[in-house]
Amino acid sequence: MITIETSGFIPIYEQIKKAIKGEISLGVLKASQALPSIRDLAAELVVNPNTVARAYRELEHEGFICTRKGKASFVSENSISLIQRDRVRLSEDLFDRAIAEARKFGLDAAEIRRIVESRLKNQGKNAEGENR
Amino acid sequence: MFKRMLVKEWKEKSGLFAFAMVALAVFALALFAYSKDKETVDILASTAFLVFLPVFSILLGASGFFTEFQEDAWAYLFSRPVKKGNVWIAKYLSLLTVLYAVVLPFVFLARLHPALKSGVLSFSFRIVGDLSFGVLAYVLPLLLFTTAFSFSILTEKVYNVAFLAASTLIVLQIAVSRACILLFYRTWFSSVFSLVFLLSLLIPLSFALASAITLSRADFSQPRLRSWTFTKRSANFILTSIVLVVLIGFVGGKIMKERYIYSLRARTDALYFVTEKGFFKFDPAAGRTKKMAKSPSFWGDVSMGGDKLAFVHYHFRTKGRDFAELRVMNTDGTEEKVLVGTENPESPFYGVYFGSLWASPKGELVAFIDLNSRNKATRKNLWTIKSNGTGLRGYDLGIPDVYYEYILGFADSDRALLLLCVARAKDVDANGRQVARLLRLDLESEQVETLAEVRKTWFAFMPAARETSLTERLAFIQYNEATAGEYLAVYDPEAREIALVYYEDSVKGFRWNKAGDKLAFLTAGSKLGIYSPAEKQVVKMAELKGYDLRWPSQALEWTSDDRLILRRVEGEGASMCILDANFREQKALRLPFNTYYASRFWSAGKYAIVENTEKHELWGADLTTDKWIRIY
Amino acid sequence: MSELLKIMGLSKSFGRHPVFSDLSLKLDAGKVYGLLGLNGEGKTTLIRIMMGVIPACKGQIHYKDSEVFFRSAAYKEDVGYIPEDPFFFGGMRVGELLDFNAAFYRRWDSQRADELLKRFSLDRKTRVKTLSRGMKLRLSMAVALSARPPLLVLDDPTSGLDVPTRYDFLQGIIRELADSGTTVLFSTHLVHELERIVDHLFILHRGRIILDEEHQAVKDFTRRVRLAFPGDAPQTLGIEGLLTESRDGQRMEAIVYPWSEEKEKKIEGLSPLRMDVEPLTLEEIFRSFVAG
Repeated sequence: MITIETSGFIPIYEQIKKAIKGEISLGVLKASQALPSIRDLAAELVVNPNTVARAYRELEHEGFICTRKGKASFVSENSISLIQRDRVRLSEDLFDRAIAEARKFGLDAAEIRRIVESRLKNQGKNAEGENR
Repeated sequence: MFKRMLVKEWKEKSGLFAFAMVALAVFALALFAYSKDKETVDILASTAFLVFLPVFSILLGASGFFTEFQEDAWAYLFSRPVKKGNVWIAKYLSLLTVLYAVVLPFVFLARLHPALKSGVLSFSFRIVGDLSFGVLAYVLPLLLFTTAFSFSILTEKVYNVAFLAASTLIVLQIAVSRACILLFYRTWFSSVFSLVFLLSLLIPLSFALASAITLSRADFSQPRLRSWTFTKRSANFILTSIVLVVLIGFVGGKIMKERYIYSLRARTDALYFVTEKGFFKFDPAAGRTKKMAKSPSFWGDVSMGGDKLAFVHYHFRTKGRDFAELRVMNTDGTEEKVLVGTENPESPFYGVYFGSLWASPKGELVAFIDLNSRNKATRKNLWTIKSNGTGLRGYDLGIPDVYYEYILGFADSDRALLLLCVARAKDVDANGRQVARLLRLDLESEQVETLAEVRKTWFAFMPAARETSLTERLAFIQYNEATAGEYLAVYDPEAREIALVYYEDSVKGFRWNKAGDKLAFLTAGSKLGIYSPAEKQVVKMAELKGYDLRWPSQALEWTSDDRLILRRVEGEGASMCILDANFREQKALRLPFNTYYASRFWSAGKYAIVENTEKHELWGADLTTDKWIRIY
Repeated sequence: MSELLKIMGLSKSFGRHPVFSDLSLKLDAGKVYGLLGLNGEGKTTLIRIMMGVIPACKGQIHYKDSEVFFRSAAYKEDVGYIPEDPFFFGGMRVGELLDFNAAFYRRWDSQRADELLKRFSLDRKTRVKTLSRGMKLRLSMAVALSARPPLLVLDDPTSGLDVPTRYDFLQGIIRELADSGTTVLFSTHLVHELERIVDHLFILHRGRIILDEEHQAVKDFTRRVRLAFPGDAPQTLGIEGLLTESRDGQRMEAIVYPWSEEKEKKIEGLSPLRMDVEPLTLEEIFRSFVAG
């Protein structure tokens, strides 16, 4: 399920792209699987089909999907590997933002590092807890 | 699109239509319930056509755009791909069908009902002129509806619209009619009512155009702008219509002077007649028509005596009263002179209406009757004046309660006058015959002598016969109460006695020949007779077959050489038949025109002359060559 | 991108009260346009003039390069119109209304009409009077879309309706967009719903178009700046494009369009203690545009 936040500051097409990439990386969308048509996705999300079209276009340009026969769009074969590459970049963006926010609170680099480590530890315990 | 609009409009107006149908049913029932009672039937018909249908037309029109005002439906309609003008037209035509779907059954019913056929259908009432039933039934609803519909774009308040439309139309109609009458009754009187009618059509048309244009060009969302645009444009169109009609009136009045021919007087040597263009003389010897004088607004009679012509000239004035003058001129058009004027308030003739006019045989004296003599003190209503303008003399005939009188002609050259005098209105009997006294007035001694008391129909005294007869004999028809017959009588002025010429059968018409020594007459039994006053008996009698005797008093005429002219109807036209002294048809000349109407013949010289009364033309046939020429 | 509709120098007054003057805008084919403005400031008037319902006082409208006059009717065949309070002739049934409209439009697709009726759960025999507002909206959509118009003009059609109905409506529009590449002009004051689908924005304020820009560009270049100064905040930031500006002691807040690096540097030059630059929602953007 893709949820679109229109009042958010991320353009809708970016949100769609991210959501689709997310689904590919989580394995919900598998390679060679067909994506919903622009029409259907736009109607489902209640967004401008042009926006969906742009998202699909850029995804295709970036190599994550391919359009065959001019109609249907499919997840491309090498999408997973692309995701891997992207994953890092996306995370870097995430951290950039978090660091910027933290700095606004007046934290310095050392404090930020400490927080990151402690949160990682915390989440790791929980993850293991879940796995048991 | 039009079909959809039609369906939509019918649905919207179905209530109104149902109401009209109920009224129709009531009307029908009432008609047949009261079919014997003529008064009730008349009231019913008047209510239907003078009250119900007009009100219905106005309400239907006023509710024209009512639904479009609800919740801005007009905006919805205008946002459809349709020209706004077309919307107006489609609505108008659709509602028109509703209107006539109501009007026509009413008319149909009215025509069915026998009592109404003669009563209402020949109905005419005067607002301006006479309006026939057709106009009332078909045109009036159309005009009212169109005006109300045009106004209905102004507001959704139907009753306001209805009131406004009706009152505007009435006010305009009255104003326009008055104006037309004032403007045109002098120049082109006969078409005043046509012009008013034309304007009555143009006014609703103006409103309709203004309405359609306002709808398609103005901002419909602004009511004041709507009203202003509509008013401005209506005023424009109405003004244009008025100017147009006034132009037509004046130009038409100048160019299209209605044709008429009257006062034809035939003498042996010439035919004189008056037309809208003037006073004409046809010379049979030359075969040419000549205008003697421009038309000086002849009104009433013209009389010829000797070489003089006496007539009445009317002056139409813009300010002050119209007045008339008694004038005389030579028959060649020269020396026109005023004998008596009625303009001067001091003169005893102020406001006089000239009746009976007579010129003496040699043209030296003119006699006339004053029909509304203001000079009640003297009771003189018969006057003579010399044709040089002198010697005005009045006469009191000494008869109380004169109903009317007219001059039959002079007797004893110009020494006496023969008059017909009808006294007292109650002397008219059911058949229109009146007791009349034949009087002889001695112009010198002023003595009045009653020659005969007769019951006559109005045409019985023939001025023509009197005028051309050299011996001044008078022929007339006398009614015999005992036998209910109309007999031919002749008055001999020398012997001063009346002789009954023919009394075996009713006589319907008669004519003296040019010499005045033979009298031809037609009887009710289609017999033709010739009377010779010299021999004091009827010298020839025969039954006529195949001739057109519809108008017996005008059916026959003598030629200059004592032959008879009769008409025979042939197909769509007619022929002029010339009969010899033995009543044998010598020849039949087909008239050069076809008309249903009969008209009388005249003869002058070698010509036999006939008038086309439909087109007001005068045609003459040369009896020696059998060729027709158009005299006028 | 082909130009579909062009409005040039449009002026309108009601009597002496002017609504807008010298207004110009342009619609390209295939895009979704949003016309934003406060209530009563002329959006409906503008649309009515476009639809040839009322005349403009001055100006021209061109549809596909030919001029459209107040009397022109042909170009309206290409425009589907859904007004705020759709009116239907009282007493008509659904089927009759469709047939009535069918007579006007050359390109009317009765099959489409039937499909739409089915999709919207409308029955031909129902009397229009008895329909709920939401159903009436669906009916106007059915009428507008059955004519297969290249241009759809919506004048605040969903005001007063509940959220699910509004979403339903948007979905319908989107499907039409996806199927036919229709150009849409959406006039509304429900800004945040417009945000999902609009490509290009117009803001009509005080009789003029004060914003005529791509949606994304507006979002990208409008920023709220929150500042804290060591002393009293300055009277003004002194940069161009200040939509709003407010001072409160040492604090200052301003909304700027268009934002640029130069402007950022200029503000930094005022030596604030703290400077936060944030983007805004479309709703906030609109409000700041019409605040002045």
